Amino acid sequence: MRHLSTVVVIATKDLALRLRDRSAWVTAFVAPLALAAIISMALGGVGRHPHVTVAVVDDDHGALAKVFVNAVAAPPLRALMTVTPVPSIAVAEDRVRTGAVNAAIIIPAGFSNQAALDPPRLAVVARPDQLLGEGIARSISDAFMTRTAAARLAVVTTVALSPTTLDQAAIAAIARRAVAAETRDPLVNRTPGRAVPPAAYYAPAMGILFLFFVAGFGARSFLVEQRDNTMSRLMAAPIPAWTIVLGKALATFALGMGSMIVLYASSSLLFHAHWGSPVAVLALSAGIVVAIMALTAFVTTLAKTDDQANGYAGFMTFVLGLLGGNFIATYQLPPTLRTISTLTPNGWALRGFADLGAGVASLHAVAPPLIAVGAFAAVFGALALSRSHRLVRA
Amino acid sequence: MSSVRKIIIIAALDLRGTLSDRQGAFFIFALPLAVIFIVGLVVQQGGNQVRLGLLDNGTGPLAAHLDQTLSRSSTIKLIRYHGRASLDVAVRRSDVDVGAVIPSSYDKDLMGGRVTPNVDFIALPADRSIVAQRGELEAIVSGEEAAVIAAQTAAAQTGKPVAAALAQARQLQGSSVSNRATLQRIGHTSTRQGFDYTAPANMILFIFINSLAAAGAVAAARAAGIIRRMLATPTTPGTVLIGIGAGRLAIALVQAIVIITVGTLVFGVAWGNPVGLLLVVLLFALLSTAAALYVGATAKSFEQAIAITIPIGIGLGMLGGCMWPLAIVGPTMRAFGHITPHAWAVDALIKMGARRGLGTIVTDLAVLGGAAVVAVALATRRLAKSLAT
Repeated sequence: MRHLSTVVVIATKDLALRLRDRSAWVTAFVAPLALAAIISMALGGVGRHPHVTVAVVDDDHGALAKVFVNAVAAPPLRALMTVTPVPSIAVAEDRVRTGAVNAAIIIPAGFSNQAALDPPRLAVVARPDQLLGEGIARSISDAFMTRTAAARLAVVTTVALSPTTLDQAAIAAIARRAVAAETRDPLVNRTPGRAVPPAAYYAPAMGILFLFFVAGFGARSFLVEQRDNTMSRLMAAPIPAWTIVLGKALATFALGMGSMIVLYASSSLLFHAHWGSPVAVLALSAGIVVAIMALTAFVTTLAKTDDQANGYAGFMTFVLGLLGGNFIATYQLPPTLRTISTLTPNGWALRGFADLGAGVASLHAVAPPLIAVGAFAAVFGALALSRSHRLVRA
Repeated sequence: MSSVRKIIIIAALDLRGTLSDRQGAFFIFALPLAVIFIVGLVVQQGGNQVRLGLLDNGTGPLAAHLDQTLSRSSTIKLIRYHGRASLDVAVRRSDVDVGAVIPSSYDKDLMGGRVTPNVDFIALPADRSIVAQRGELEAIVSGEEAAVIAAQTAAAQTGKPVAAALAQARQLQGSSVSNRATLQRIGHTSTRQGFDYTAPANMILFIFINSLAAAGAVAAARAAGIIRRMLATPTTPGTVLIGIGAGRLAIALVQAIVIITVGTLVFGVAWGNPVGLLLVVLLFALLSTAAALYVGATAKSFEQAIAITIPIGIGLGMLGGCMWPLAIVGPTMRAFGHITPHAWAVDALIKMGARRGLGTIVTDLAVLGGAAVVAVALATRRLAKSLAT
């Protein structure tokens, strides 16, 4: 009990000292929130409700060309694109070059010929940087061509199977019959639930990134106390060495948890970042704070000087941040890098936060990330404690 | 000893000290190159296959044929799932781009001429890439259905069995050239893909971050009294100031040279007009150095300098299009991003890389030049004041 009060005194003193320095406020609260805000504002609207303008040139003037022009200008596609008919390929290309339209679709002469298996195809013209316009124009053109291919295929299959030559009227009748069956979208849209919004991923990602700095300053405070001879004074007091380690660790834990909780509350309020179940968020936050503290403390015990400790911590922060998905969301990483991210505690924690944000996981479902983060904390915590004589010495 | 010689000595010492330090070398060379590599891979993978999660509940030969066609498609990477819940979770987690469910009634619906859609397409709403990914799946499913419809029509016309007509239709379908639209790309690009984007963008990001990180060293040198001791020798504050600045500028330029060289040789990046590239790098390195000296002269300690510079470096990089192209953000954020010099530098490098003329980056260079002049003036004033006290 007497030792517990010593731990609390050391922790309170350490925390007060840290909070007196404005840089601790920047690192723990301002920076992660500001960066999460930038990401949220920049990427929050990306990809939402895409809309493009597409020029259409009809060089065919046949029946099928008219069906296509009417189909692309019809209400279902209006939310996605505005269609502008233009008189010639030259005009369309000019508008594509100047950026007046996002892409152009050319209907070539002969497109409406139903009897040919390989009639001239629709052509999409786009500038190399207009990937969305190009994608939408290609997708719509491809879908139309694939559907109308059924009519052509019906004609050529009948011709191939039929012992007699078909006249134009028969071809048209077969095409009509096939078209009646195939001019429809074969896919039914279904949503799997909520996506992980950028703010719900990057707010914890930035919080975890700056936890490395918070924990780093905490671990290096042992070396600073050695340098300033305050550690020898502490050790001269009638208290066991572990109370010093625990007290200082408690201060760092409090600052780290405070940082995550402030980020959680402010990003939820300001950017409507839905982090998921609060209990699971708190459990995962506590786990990652302890894991990063353990890692940073271990790395600090390897350093001989303050400068070296800074370098090691910086190296670790950026390597783990990069591999664990703090800068690029783990779900955007290629498969190999995704696997590598599971070698980092922050990678596991972010996997858990992403699942919570997507509404996939509840407290029991974030068990794997919690166990993984706990294992990192246990292993590196034990290693750091076994070398703690390097931190607590006069 | 002349002032010029003293400046060279101060700068050379700084350059040598940083480059011979393994930690310094990591942050200046290894980290930016690793970021370019990883982000480049991420950006490039977008152009490859669609990762399709498939739940095949089909029971007949038509469903089996659709499954086979999907698994053989060069544009689709198929990942199989055995339950709707696990497929939904995979789509939400982005383990797959989109999902599809072949229903158990697929064969029955198709042979019965049912004209309602029957393959479920599972995707997160409001994702811009969904349009193209849906198109890939739609083309294959429509193609499969087209063969069945053609076979039924032909069988009705000729009196032949549907199975024989289906075999004939599939054979003809296989021999047709393509049902895809042709694509022609024309005009200039305002953005670039893969390493052609990540290499210049990250060069700008890391020149700034590493220069700013030097603010910590300047603050520590001030706090430790090293600069005071330099001033105790017959060296003027101006010489010390230019020496420190020249050292940091040299480090930024060496960093740029390494990134440009490795970018060209390893990642195949085209940097375009060398004069334009040199001007952009010089001006940006100059203003980054000035910013570092300003912060170094202002911060009270190493910790304070690092606490300020890292978020500022990352934040300005995000705003300025170093972490994602400004072409993908909204017009407000794009305009806001151009408050940073990063955006102008990245714009200029992208234009140079796209082989557009030197004339197209005059405005970018003018903005960078103006920003560099202001930054140098502010830093000089601030550092001179801190050296005097």
